[in-house]
Amino acid sequence: MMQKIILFLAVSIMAAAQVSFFPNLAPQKSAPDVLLMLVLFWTIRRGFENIWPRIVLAGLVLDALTFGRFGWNVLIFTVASFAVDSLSKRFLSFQKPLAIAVTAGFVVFATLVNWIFSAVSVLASAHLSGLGHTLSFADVFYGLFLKIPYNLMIFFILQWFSSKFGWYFRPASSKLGLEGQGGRF
Amino acid sequence: MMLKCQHDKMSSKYFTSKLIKLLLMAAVCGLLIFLNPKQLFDPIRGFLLGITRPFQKTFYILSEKTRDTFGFLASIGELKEDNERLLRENTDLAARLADLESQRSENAVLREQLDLAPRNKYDLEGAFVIGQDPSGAGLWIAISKGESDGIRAGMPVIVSDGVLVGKVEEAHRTSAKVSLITDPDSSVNVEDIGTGAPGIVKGAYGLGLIMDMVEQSDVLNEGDTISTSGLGGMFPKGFLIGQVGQIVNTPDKLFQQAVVKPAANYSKLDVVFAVKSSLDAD
Repeated sequence: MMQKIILFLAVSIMAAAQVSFFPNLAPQKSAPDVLLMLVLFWTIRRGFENIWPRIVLAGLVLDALTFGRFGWNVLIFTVASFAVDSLSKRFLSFQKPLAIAVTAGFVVFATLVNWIFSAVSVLASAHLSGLGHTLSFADVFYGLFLKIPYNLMIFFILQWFSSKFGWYFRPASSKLGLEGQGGRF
Repeated sequence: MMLKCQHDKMSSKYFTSKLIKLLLMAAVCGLLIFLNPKQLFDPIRGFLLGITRPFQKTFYILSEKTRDTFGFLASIGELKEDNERLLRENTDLAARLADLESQRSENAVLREQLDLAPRNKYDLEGAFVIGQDPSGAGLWIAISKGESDGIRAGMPVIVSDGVLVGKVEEAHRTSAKVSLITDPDSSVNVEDIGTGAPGIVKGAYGLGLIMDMVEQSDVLNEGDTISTSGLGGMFPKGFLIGQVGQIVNTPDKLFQQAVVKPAANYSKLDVVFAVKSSLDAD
C-alpha cells in the first residue's frame, strides 16, 4: 500500500514538473516529456504487460493536469510502451555500449511517437478551425529536435536516480540488463 | 526443431495477449476521448489538481528563479558594455524626462477618451500562474485560485495593466484553467482604437495573434492599438490586446487579416487577475 502511495506521489510530482517547471525553462515547444520517459523506463525494465496499470495512472494524472480529454495521454503512453516493448525483445543480450545506444534509440522513438500524436492533433484542429494555412511545415517540427536531447537527459537522470536510490525499482527484472548484472548496462 | 516450434508458439501466445491488452486499452481510451464524459471525470481532475497544486506552485516559482538566474549568468559578459551604454542613455533620458512629464497628463486624458479599462473599475481576484501548456503552443495556463475564491468559468483574465490574457475555461476548487487568447479556438471581439475597425482576434498555434474578419471597407493601420470592443458580452470593452502588425487580405479577398503583436508575453506570466465583476454594476 505504502509503495502504491509513493508511486502515486512520484507520478504526480513528475507530472507537476512537466507542466509547471520545464515549460518555463525549455525553449518553446521543446519541454521534455517527463512522464513519457518514466513510462519508457518502466517498459524497458518490466515490460508492457507488467506496467499497464502504471501507464493508466501516469496518463490519467497528466490528462488531469493538462486539462486535456481523459484517455489521450494514456493512449500515447500505451502505444509508445507497446512499441518499445516489442522492439526491445530483439535486443535482449547486448553489451553495455550498444545497450546504451539502443536505449537512446528507444527514447528517440518514444519521443517521435508522442510528437506524431501531438502534430496530428494540432494539424487536425488547425484545419477544422480554418487556420490550417497559418501553419507551416517548420512550425510543426519546431522544438522537436531540442526535445530529443532533453528527453534523453531526463531518461538517463531517471536511470541514474534508480541505480543510486533504487528504493522503488529494485525488484525489476531488466530486459536490457540495465541493472549492471553480468557486466550488462 | 521442436524447441524452436514451442518457442514460436509461446512468443505468439504472449504477443497475442499483449496485443489484446493494447487493443482493449486503445479502444477504451478512444471511447473516452470521443465521449469526453466531463461530469464523470471532473471530480477526479479536481482531486488530482488539489493534490498537485502545492507542487505546481513550487515548481513554477522555482522555474522562474532558475530562468532568472541563468539569464543573469548569461548576461554577465555583457554587463560592462551594458553599463557604459546605460550611462550614456541615462543622460539622454534625464533630458527626455521633462518632456514625458508633460506627456503623462496628456496620456491620462487620452486613455480616458479611448476608454481603456482601468484596474479600479473591476472587482479583481489576483492569482499566481502555476502551470502552462507543456506542448508550448500557448493554449492555456493554470492559476492558483479556483471556485473557493469566487473564480467561475467564463470570467475574463487580465494582467495588472489591463491587458487581456484570456478567460477562465474550467474552475476547480483550488485552481482553474485559463484558455489564453492565443488559443485558436478562442475568439475575441476587438476594434482598432484609432479607426474603429471591428474584427475578431484569434490565436495562431503559438505563433501569436491574428485579427480576422475585418471588412475591406474598414481601415487598419500598422501600429494601431487593438482593444476589446465589448461586442458579444464575453469580454468588457477596453481591455488592451496589442498592436497591428502586417496586414494581408484573406485568400477569398472578402476580409482583411492582420498579425497582432501582443501587449503581454503569454509565456512569461506570473501573476494574473480574474475579473469577477464590474464595480460600476454594483
